[in-house]
Amino acid sequence: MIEARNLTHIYNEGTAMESCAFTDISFTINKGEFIGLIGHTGSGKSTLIQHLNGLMRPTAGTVYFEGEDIFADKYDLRALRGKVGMVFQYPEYQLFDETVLLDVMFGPLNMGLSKDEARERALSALRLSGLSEDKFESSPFELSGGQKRRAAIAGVLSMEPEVLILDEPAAGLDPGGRNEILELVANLRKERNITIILVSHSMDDVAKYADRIMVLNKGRLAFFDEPRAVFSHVEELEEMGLAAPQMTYLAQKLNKAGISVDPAISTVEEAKAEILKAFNVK
Amino acid sequence: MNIIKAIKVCYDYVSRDENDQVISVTHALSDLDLEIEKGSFVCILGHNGSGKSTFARLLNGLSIPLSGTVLVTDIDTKNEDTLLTVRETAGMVFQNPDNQIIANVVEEDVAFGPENMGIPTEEIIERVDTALTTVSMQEFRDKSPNRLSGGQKQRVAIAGVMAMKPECIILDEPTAMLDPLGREDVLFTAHELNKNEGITIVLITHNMEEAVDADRVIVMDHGTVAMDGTPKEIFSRVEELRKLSLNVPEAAELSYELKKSGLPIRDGILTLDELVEALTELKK
Repeated sequence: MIEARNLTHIYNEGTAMESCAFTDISFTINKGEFIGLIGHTGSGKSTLIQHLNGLMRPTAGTVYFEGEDIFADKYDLRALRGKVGMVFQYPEYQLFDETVLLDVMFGPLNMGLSKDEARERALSALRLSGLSEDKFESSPFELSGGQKRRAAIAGVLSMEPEVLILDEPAAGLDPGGRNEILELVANLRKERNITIILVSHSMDDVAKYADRIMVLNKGRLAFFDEPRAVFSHVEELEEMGLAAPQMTYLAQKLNKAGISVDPAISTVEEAKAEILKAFNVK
Repeated sequence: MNIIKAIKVCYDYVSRDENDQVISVTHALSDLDLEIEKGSFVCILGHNGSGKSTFARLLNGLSIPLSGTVLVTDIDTKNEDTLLTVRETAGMVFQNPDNQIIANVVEEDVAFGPENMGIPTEEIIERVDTALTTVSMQEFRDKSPNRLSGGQKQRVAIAGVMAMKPECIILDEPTAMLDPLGREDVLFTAHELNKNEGITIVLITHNMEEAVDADRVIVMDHGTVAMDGTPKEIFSRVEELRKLSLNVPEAAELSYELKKSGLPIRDGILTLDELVEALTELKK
């Protein structure tokens, strides 16, 4: 569905300030996949995702969306941005309108839909986001942190994207709110088959939700594989300023202590099943 | 001895329309009583909107209680004449490192606080030196903060607070925007300052793992203290914490789940090592 081919981005090319964000990155993401994108601060994650809906142009290489080169001359980038939705960090700062509903209608109106159509789209996006109906007419500024986050995500959903890219959507939320937002994202994939790209600093979160994990390190694609495979490289990940999920460390420690469990576990659920098995508890 | 004392503290957020009519009042803190012992490492947990950050802002006089009193080393934060002393005693570090760094060079940024306090130049140089060494940022002293990673920037912000020689540092979600390494850096620095310099640390966080090594954990809800105890005591109350939109460290969660499934594992497990130890014990 999305293919990056030899993507390179160099900031301020040809000046004294020249610095390379990433070099020669190639990958393919399939429809309906849940991708976790991790990497240390400054590894190029944010720059990379902005190439996927054409907000930034690569220095070399290109991106194909459904087989078409999005940086080709005649390509309709505007339409692409409706199909590849982007939820930035702290999206609640981008709420601006008088009511939540009007705020969410802004995207579809901008796409040229009529007021009625935009309203329909916004209502269905808001319902999908799980925000309670009595908040639709509230000012966005009266909502709690988690509610604002939902409203902001609804603003992107109202454009009915096929791909949703989220940059740290749970940052700053309490554990309950964090869980709710991530479950919402997982559900969008399950129920609407929306392809998800989740940028996160939490190894535990990507381990729990992603089908495949993309690891960026110093502007290069270090790994792109299933969680079990990626988290088997504990030492390399630590060298990159990352870590393995807590439960992967637990598995290492248990095996060392003579309690044998699958070394590739990464979530509490998997750990529970493995330990109960080791102790013959049913 | 207590360094911070909050007595019956109330704080409201009032929103008004364009005609200055009150539309709504949110009680951020209500009748909060809380004492923090000098030299301790205290972690404050609580869901979004529980009043944690409001409380933090009261501790160095950024906000003044609507009613009740906040004493910092026995000085009332309400008293404007001594506000500067309060701010020198209790330093703040916020969530976003980019909002707290002001100078173009690391050492200038760290010197900003003591300069404002009117400290003589020679002593400033000494303080900046010590502060940067303590947070292990000495080699970046003549670099631009723009080029630093999130964790490094946050350490510079901590050095800036340290250079004012506070007795207490309040960190409001200092690791929320950092990667795992940056997170570890900041936590390590906070614990070092507490152990080696005797600085009281108040750490506000959403990350349960960060609270495991604290002396005391305070859980806030509805603007008041809902739970107060050692990490072991607090994190054994799994269901109560979940109701408050919180969680427990993964090692504690797993122990709790294992016990529920019939494995006779002991209580009070917070870390992976404790869990491995308990399971090894059980295997025998």
